[in-house]
Amino acid sequence: MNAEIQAPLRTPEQRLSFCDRYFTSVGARTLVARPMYREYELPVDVDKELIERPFYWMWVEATRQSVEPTVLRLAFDAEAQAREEARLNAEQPPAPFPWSLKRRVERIDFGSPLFDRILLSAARRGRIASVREGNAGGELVPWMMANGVFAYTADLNREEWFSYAICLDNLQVVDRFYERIQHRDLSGVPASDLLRHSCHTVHDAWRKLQRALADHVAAQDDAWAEEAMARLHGDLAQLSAYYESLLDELTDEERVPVLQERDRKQAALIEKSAPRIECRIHQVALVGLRVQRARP
Amino acid sequence: MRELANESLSASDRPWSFSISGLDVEAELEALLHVGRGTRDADWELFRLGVMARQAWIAPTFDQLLALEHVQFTPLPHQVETALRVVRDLRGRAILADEVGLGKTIEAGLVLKEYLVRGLVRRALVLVPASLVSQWTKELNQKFRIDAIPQRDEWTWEAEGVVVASIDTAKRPPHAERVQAQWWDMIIVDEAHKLKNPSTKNWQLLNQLQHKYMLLLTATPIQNQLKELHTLVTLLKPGELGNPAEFAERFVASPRTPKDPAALRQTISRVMIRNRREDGSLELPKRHVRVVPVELTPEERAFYEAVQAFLRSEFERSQTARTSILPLITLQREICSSAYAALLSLEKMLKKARDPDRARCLQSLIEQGTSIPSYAKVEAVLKMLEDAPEKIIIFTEYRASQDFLMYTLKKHGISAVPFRGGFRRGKKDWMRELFSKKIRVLVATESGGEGINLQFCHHMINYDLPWNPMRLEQRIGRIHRLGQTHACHIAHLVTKDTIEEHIMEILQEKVRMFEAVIGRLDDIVSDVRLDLWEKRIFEAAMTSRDDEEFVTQLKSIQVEDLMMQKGGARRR
Repeated sequence: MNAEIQAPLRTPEQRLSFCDRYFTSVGARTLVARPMYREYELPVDVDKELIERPFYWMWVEATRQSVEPTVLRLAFDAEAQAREEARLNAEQPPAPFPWSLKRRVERIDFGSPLFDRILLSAARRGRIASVREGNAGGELVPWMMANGVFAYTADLNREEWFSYAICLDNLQVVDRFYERIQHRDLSGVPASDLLRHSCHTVHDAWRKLQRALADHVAAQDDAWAEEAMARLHGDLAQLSAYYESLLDELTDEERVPVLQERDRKQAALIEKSAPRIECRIHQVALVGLRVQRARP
Repeated sequence: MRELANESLSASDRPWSFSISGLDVEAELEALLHVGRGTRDADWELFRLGVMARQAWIAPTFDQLLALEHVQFTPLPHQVETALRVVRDLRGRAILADEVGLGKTIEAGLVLKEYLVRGLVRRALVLVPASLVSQWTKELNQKFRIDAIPQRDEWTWEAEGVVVASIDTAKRPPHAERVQAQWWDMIIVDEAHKLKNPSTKNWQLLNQLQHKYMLLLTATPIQNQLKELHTLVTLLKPGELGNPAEFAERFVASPRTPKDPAALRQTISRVMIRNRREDGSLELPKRHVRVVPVELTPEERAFYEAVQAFLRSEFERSQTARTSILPLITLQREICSSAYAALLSLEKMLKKARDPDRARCLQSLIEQGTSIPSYAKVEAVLKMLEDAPEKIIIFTEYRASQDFLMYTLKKHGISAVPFRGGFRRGKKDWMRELFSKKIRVLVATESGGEGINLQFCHHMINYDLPWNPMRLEQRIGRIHRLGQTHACHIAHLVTKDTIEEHIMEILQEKVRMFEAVIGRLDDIVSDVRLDLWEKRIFEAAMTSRDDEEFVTQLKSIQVEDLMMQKGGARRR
């Protein structure tokens, strides 16, 4: 499915909708909502995640101050930014030194540091879930879902997002699981409700799932890695030939640092260029699906 | 968040290694069961947002420049192409040797950002001349949104992320040891021609650093000798050009002449990228250069003639006594800049003078110089500042002229800041900042100009002219460079009926000739030393009976002759 995924969050509307959903989920209040512009009031835990100022919080906590909650003013396009800055400036004139003035409205675009931190916060907070399909009651089949990334790395890398799941009743493994369930009506449920009647343990399921992840990787085309390995061998041969040629004119004593230098450079080359595949697990969830639709 | 220790699975017969990392799945599920974390409806919403965040960060292909989505500006096509070639074809170790003003910094920033975005670089070291630490840091922060910090003390080296530091600091204790103890995912060295000698501390420091990727930035990968190229390449990829003896054997005919240029170019292209102005559509806004003739006041004229007479007699004396003519060249250049600048040299000479006649002569010159009531060039500057109300940079070769200009501008209520090489980093930044924000005039000496970008200004006055045409280009390049959006207006102040007037004329001719010749030079031999040029000008001035002869002598100096004498750079 990965090839079909349109890179998300590349339009201002998508980013606005993402922020609305994020700030609602973390309990921030939306104070102002105008076209492509929002003001959110941050709870302290979210403030600490999004704004890097540990010393400020140390001071606040040490002196037991009660402080006004931070309000983020976010514009999602240039027009909204200009409009809202003008409004704020009209309400309160800017400082007399034009270069000392901080922008009061932060622009959210892809790559802006604040938006990166919002994404990171969502990724951190959203790493685990337990949900069931439909309302309480009815028989459920428990699945364990693991989402993450396969990173194919040598001098450069390529990544592939995945969502694998394994059925805790029969250890059946399914690829592209999230894609199949994301539009279903799912709601939070205690994990114990889902695992109460499962036939297999989480431990066994995870072992089998890891095997499936390794199989996935093994089934991919190796050409990129073969090429990278060949280049690395070439580089290593060139490196050792170079140091070999220096040795002739050196005494035994002088050789020691030269050989150490060679070893260090060799290790660096391997670190840079050796092909490797890493499977990074980013999210896990337990998902109870209704029996009649158990086969996704 | 508990992370699972890398668990390697067997893949022994494959060309890659495999590991599973990230969340500790069993521990997370345990938390789900016993702590009840992740079971609210909002948790599922966050889970779905988490999916989106992770998918947004994916690097979907090997050969796409992801950095472009993350930076705050639109780089030029040649910069994008260069960055892509570095990561894709040169595999992260490269010399970026673009001509001055084409944006090597931008290219390096793009490469760094690309690796950061892809998660291939976490810790990087950017080594630059002390005067550029702040500028680099700022540019990385603002343009590339890279969280770079300037090096402040010996603990900064251990900081996470990107550290920008002066190479001169890094090579000294206690820093050197700490820098070497670190693992650097990437190292960038600006002004990398300072690494041309393997016996220097600069080179040795770099050779000891442990790193994956490395970029060396220099417009002049070869300044004097071909072996400098070998030295640079050996830092990046030891063995790419063989050992020094093999390199000499295979590629070097004479210190400045390659043996097999085609093969050398081919080999070099595996580690070096050089963009040239003439290659692409790298059009800059127009540059209007005008010569502003200045008529010396009668007192200045008398002083100028007296100094010329003195120089001639000293030159004759030096020819028989075989003493250095360097101080004389300096005095000749100073008198072209301002009487004020010449006075300092005359005073120095007076202090050293043993011959009473010579001392008397110097004393009378000094008296004559100090009694000059007004200075024509300064008046011309004031008039020009009146006419053009915008920001303006005034270049001079001499501290004395700079001080005098500062004093005069201040006296006339014109806001001005000085700028020179000797300023500390913070002071340079402050001066540049003041100039960009609220000060009208920047009075700079040559040595302060290196690497500083002043594109926000598009007026320049050359208070005096360097005798080296390349230096004049460098001055103009401070404002007339990529990023400049306005036409640039450059005025050369030239005093009538002095050798300056003729030099100007010839200089312009020579600049065109140099461009033509350097265009024909081997790609990698980009810089030609022109020490001889200054000496020839002075000799011509001293040995000509009149202006006509002086001009003829100047014109007869051939660029080719100068270069042949410096070792005979190859011409195609």
